[in-house]
Amino acid sequence: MSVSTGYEVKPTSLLSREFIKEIWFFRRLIGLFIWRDIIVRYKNTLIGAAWYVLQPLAMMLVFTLFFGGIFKRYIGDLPYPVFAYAGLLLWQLFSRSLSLGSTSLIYFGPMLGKVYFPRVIAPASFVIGTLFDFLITSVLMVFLMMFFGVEGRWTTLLVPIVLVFTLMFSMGCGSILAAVDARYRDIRHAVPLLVQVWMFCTPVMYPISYIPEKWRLLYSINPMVGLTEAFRWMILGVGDPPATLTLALSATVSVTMFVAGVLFFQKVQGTLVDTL
Amino acid sequence: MDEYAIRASGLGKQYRLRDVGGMSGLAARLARRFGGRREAPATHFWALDDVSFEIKKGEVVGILGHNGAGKSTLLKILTRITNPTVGSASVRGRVGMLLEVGTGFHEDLTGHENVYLGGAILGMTRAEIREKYDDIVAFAEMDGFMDLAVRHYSSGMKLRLALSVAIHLDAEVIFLDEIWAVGDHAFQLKTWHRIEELIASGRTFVIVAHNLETIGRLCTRCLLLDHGRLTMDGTPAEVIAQYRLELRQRSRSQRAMADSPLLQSIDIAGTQLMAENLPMGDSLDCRVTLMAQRPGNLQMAAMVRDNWGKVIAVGEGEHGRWTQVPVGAGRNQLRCQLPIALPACGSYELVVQFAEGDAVITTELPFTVVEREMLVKDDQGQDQAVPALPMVWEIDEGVQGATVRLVTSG
Repeated sequence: MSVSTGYEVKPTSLLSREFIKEIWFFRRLIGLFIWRDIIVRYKNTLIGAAWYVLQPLAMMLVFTLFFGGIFKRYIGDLPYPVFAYAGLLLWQLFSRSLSLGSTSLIYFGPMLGKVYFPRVIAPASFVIGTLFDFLITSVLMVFLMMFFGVEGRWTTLLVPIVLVFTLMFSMGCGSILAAVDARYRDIRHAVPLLVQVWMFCTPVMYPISYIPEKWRLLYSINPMVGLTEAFRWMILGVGDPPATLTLALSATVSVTMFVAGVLFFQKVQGTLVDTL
Repeated sequence: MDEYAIRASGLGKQYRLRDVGGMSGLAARLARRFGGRREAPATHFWALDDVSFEIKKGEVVGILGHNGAGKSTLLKILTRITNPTVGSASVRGRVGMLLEVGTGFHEDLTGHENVYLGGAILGMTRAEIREKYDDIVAFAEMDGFMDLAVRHYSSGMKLRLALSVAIHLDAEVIFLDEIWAVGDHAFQLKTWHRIEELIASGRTFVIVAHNLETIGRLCTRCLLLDHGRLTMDGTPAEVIAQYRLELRQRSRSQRAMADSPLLQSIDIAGTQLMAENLPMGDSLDCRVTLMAQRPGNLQMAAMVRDNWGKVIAVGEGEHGRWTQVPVGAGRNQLRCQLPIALPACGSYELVVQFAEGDAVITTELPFTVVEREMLVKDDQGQDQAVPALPMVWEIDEGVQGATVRLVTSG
């Protein structure tokens, strides 16, 4: 039975072929929500896109000022600002998609109580929408590389792989957090703290070589470690090529988290509105 | 005709009542588990209990019941907004919803953009919206406003546009919940006309309404819900009669239990609003006819509740909200006028209370507030719709008693 010809109502909604069909039927809604958020954002701000560049830019300047000297010897010839901005670029994508994904149900709440569409569209549209911010912040990356005379590399073409894993990971975490937040409001207060601590546990301002060898495997359980390292290698050629255990670990954790997150969300989605 | 459009079997929905004021959520749970502190366990109640029915294609089914009988829970389950706790239902055909309109409209987007967004949320394809766009705008009477951000619309304009989008969805099964409280009287008539057209074309309807006349006129069948249970399933005439009977019985049993000889001796023969559709800003005018077997002093009060049962306005009487009314033996005709300033169009309920001492009995009268609005120019010279209030100019000096009603536009 397809969406346009009817449906079944049952106590719990499990992942099924109907679910996939339904997502396909409503796929345009994801695009529309993303489009809406972009339009709304730029309609009401004076400098619009600049805000999204300003944040990583300011962080990069702070990092350069306070940590540039400390981490310089770990990264070779590469100018530290370029190194830090590259890390922040991906980090920004992850942290924004994670926090938006986990608060998506708050934002969508009133709508979810009045009309049905697959609930997973709420976190999904927010998470995917952050790619737009990523594109805008990437423009400054290009300028920085030109300014510091860092040459572009063909491996940059591999970046989409990293982006896909990053978004899968934040989608997984984000949907679990969003679903739990619908029940326990504590999550919305915990997420900013989580994101902050997480950044220090990820090689954003420092390279992985700063971490002692014996801790690296444990450290790499955080999938953002392998992804950040791979991302920086792809665009700047710094660090080891990513065909290593770290990246495999990152990819595995990301995909597992994605599947677990979507399954969990799907299991509770039917009654989410009761506690929103 | 033997094919079903909706089939519900054993539908039940349990809600948790969380104790208010205590620790919330996780903290409370942890405290219960580890702290050894005794907290009252959360109480559960069944908002819907073992409801089964089958609706055939083309039937127009009205759902009746008191506030909290489970009408909106049933609609929310059938439209998949929330899942049932037990039981299942099957809906065949494309589903349209006219529950609470305006869903998904974004204040910062233009009317044009919102039509596309709102339509997509309801499940319309882009081609479908494009094809119906002109009809949607024309029906909403919004020509010329579509490039304006919705935040500049009046509440009436927003609702008209949203309703127009929803009503143009080509659905086979339509869920309808009190939407005629949108727009002015002419627009309501137009909406009803359109709904009647849809009914005539063989769509299946499930209608939740307070307005018994509407239900009686449109429906081919009615379901009666009471405390979450389906208590009756029959023709509109039968079910409406039963529902009226229950309403009467409820107030009668309330009266019998009241610890007051005066209250027990009176029979409220009729409580009636002079107009069930009230333009915004008008006064509520209510007539109460009661038969008393003995004379006495009755305390009366009136208040207004919104669709969710929340008290939003109270009439101020002589002593707080109570006014003492002397009633004589025999027939008494009382009249109560309440100038309302209700915040929005929609369904409300006037609650009239009679009391002697601590004993109180109540009757409830549903009514609807409709929009009355006019266009005026704002600072930028753009037309803007604002609520219009009835106004009377009286000439103090000059021709005595001449009354001029201000009529203006633009």
